[in-house]
Amino acid sequence: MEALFQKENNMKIYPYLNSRGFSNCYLVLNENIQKAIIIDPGQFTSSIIKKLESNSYKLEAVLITHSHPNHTSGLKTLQKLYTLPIYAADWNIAGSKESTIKGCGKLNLAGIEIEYKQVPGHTTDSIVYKIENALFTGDTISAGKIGNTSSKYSEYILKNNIAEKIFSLPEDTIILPGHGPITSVASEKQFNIDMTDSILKNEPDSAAG
Amino acid sequence: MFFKNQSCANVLEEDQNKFVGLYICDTDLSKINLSEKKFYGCTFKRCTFNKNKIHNLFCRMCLFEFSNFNETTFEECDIKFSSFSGSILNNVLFANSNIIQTNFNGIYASKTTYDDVDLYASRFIRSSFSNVIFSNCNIKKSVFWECQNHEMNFKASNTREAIFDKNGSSLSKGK
Repeated sequence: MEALFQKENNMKIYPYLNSRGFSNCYLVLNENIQKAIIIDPGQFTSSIIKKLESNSYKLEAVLITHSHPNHTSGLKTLQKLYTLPIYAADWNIAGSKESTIKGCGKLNLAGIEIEYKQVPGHTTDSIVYKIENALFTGDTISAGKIGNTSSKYSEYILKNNIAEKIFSLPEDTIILPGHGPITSVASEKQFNIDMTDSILKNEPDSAAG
Repeated sequence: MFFKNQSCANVLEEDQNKFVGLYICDTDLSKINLSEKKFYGCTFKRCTFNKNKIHNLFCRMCLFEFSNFNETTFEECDIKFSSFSGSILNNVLFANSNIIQTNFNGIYASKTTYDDVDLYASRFIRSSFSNVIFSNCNIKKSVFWECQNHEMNFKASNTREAIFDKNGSSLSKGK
């Protein structure tokens, strides 16, 4: 599937549904300078390559939300074709100290300002990336649910992180998840089945299991 | 482009049929002809659609969240990767359309029909249905969790390929 989301400053976002793992990959293009970044290449397909090559875009970097294969398996193919930095919290994926990112901070890649925040819970290396009002969440949160966790404690950590780091964003923030349809912070605050049931901050003991 | 009042009507009524990055909220769009139009990355938040007859609408990554749709029809529309979350649908018909990977979480739908609609990988989490029909729809990988329903019908839709929770599993039996 191919779609288009265009911002006023000539930045375009194209989501691609990976047929293996049914995850979403996003291509972000800066039309002003013909550069691009890719987020979570679960597959690096010919349609993505065609989009880049036929329009002479230079792919400048890869952003990884977490190290699960359905978000990273396309790296093998991608690295055969391009030499470029891979930004991730997991050194094994990033492959260099310079592109291993932790905590929160900012990147400027392909002329695009990107904020990142580490949001552990689904995995320890989970990161969300924000470009303008679009938030790329990987498996941290998707429409109506949060990511799977390996324990009750991880679930508690994840819920708190979402409450603090994602629900604090403006309600019009558009969530572009790693799986399923788009959503917004406003929608998740009201309808996310995992986030609307409990007041998180005050119940670590019960959630820690 | 940001619009918070009726002035957006002028923009949508222009001759052009392709719109990119519009942001329209709290606006009555009942008299706007959305047929044959293409929207990319547009937001229609808390808008009202009353008796709109929408044909051949094309949407990519558009939000129609917390809006009100009354006696509105969507025919032969192509909507992907979009969201109707939190909207109220009363007497709405979606027919012969592709509405793929779209977010219907938290909708309140009454007297609404999805007829021959491809709803692949769409989500209906915490939605309320009253007199809602999914007729001959592709609901493969569509998610129905924690829904409330009264009088639902999934006739000729592939319910075995949809994802129902314990409560929602009763939805698939239909009538």
